[in-house]
Amino acid sequence: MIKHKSSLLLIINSLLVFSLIFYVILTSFTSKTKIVYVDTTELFDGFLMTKELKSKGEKEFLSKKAALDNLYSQIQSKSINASQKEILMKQFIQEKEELEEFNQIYASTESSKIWSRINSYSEDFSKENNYELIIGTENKTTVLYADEKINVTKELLTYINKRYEGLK
Amino acid sequence: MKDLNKLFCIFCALLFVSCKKETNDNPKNSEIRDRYFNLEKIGWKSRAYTQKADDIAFTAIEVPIQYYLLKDLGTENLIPVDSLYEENKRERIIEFTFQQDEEKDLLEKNFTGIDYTDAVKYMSFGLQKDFYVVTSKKDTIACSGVNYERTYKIAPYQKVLLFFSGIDPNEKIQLVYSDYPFRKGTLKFQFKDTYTQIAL
Repeated sequence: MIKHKSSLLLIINSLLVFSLIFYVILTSFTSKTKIVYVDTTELFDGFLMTKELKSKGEKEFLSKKAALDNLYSQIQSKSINASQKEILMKQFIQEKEELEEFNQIYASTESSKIWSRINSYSEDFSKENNYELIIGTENKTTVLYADEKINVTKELLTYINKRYEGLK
Repeated sequence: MKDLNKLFCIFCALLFVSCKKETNDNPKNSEIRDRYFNLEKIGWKSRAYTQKADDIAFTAIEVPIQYYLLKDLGTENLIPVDSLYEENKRERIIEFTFQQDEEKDLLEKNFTGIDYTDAVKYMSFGLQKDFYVVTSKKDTIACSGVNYERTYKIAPYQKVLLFFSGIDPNEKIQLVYSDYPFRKGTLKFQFKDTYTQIAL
């Protein structure tokens, strides 16, 4: 009876040891560092905030350009005298400079706003999906090789667009 | 004396007939009470929706207008409260807060780029044009008013109440904010179902 009991205990113990080893192996496999990559150009262009700011900037640019064209046609007109022409010319030069400045500043300031928002949403995305590293690459120029399986551009794009629209 | 007794008896009989037991269980009142009880149980406010841009958190919370009506009129007689609600049910009130991660005063010049006084002025009078609402029918409703709750640096956030008119009470809304004072771009807040009904 005692012999039978000890063999039963031995079986139970060995089963417990095996299950512990199995658990350790399983956790070591699943806790592997999760590294993924995204195409930054696709991400930036597909982001709704980029599209909205782009169309807003274009509208503003076109209205400024229309005003400048109008001024140019006034300068070209023969109905105005030399002094008026000079005043209009000064105004034209000033507005042209402003337009060029707007063109340069708008793109850089709005791009930094967009990237800051993408970064903030990407942080939450990686936390939700347990990613430890998201590599951003522009048309795979900075990454020599990456398996398509770890390309999460579409997933991240959907996520950031949902977050931007306030849906998540 | 007999006549006097007779008269007294008639008077008593009339008194009994004329007095009617007052009933308190007005069906309308109890229905309103149930409805308001539900609102109270869900904490009066809808879920808070937060968008973070850099170190600033922007939070929008929809508050049912009954909350303000009850605050003003009390809970004793709900019929006037409800009738006022019916009159104003197409109005929406949204609580909007700005908070910095390290609880710094957001109206300082390093956040806004303008003087503190001008920033306070902007929050009080200029903020209205930065907000609008898009309904589920894709109607755009401009903000009809803003009430800035000045905290005099006591609270670690800046809070404004936003008012919108002409929105169907059953419609879901999306609040759109084009951030001008902190230059963080456009922020959107999609409000889901405003209230969750609790079965009693």
